[in-house]
Amino acid sequence: MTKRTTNRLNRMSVALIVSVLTCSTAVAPALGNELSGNISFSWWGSTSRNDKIEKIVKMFEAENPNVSISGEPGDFGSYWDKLTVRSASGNQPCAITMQSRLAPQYSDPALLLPLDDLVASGDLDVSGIDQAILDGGRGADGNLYFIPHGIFYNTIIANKTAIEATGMTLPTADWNWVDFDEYTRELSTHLDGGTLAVANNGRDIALFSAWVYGRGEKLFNADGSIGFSKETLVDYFDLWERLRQDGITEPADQMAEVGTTLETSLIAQGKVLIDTKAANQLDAIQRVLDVAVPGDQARFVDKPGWSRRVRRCHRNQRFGDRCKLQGIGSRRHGGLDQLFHPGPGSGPSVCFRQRGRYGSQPPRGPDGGSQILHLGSANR
Amino acid sequence: MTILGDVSPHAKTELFPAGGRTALSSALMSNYEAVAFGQISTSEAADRLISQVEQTVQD
Repeated sequence: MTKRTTNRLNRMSVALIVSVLTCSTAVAPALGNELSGNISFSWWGSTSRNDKIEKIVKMFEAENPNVSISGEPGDFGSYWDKLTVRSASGNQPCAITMQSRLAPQYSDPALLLPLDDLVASGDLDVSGIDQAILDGGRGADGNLYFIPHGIFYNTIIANKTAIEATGMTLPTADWNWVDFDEYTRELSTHLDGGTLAVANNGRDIALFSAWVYGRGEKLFNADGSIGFSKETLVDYFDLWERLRQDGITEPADQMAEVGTTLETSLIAQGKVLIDTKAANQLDAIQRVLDVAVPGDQARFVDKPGWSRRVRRCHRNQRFGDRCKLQGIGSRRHGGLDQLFHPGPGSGPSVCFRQRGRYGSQPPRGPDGGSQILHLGSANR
Repeated sequence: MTILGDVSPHAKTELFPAGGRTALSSALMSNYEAVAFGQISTSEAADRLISQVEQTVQD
């Protein structure tokens, strides 16, 4: 076991210990004592993640024989609807995998347990977590609601083997949206009807986020209002409509059939050569691709608009004009400081609820509510 | 990871309003699909998305 893996397990162990204290009724009064009780623990993910989490759970149970964990794995797409319903009825799992981009709707002291005191007392060891990342677990009120133990970012996944078989090379990290458009179109000319250049991401919030930030805008303003213009949104839709109508990406009916699971994604099935996914999904995608198209290797490439070249686009008037004329360039650079925007690219976390019940509405007071404690993890 | 090391000191935190991310993701999906199926124009889809998301985050 690597040191990195050990650290991850240690952090997960901390998470589960806290969950015992906060959820089960049959628990030890303090950390360090023998623990007992049952913990329900939910998460989403592919088969690859399920296997890893189940191993961690078994390790924790082996170290704490009086604790049993009821695992509740799920599909990302339906996970949040289910969690919302269960949370509203006070029936959510003790330990809940959470994602920081969805955390704001839970990051309220009426719902979530602020962890600052536990960290201050040393009950939660966060010494291995970078402060900037740890602060990503704070809500708008400044309270620490979750403890990240991993981060991820969304990126472009490319089928390296199939692309190189066409005679083309992988996109370089400094590509921008103009390059993206041109590259996928050129790639398409080398493909037969059974394979498409790029998955249709006209409906994908992660890539849309990169598009928005590449224009110097943001998804939401500090006051909660929408932070991007209608023009930016229309241009994004138009980009994908042009690609769809030209056969560069899949048609509407096929797009609707793909679903949201990793296993059914066109990139994993070898039916498209470029898609946007979380970087830490590469392993899971590769496992499916190994079966679908043995020998094909997937790699990730930065999204358009994340490169220094885009900055140059705006320093170089000629290239800037080109961006503007085609309507798909950045008004401002989509520079590296946005690369790890914890927004659509941040990691999930593990949350824990406290004892308590509430009716159809979550509690608004400090007592009796399900409180959630984040222990962030890597991406789905 | 090299890139992460380069940029993490410059990382910024994005705040989503409660329900904002879910609303935007859902609206993006439904409205783009409506465009792709030829039901509405991209301009109409944008208007609908903005309206839907604004209504959600204001509730």
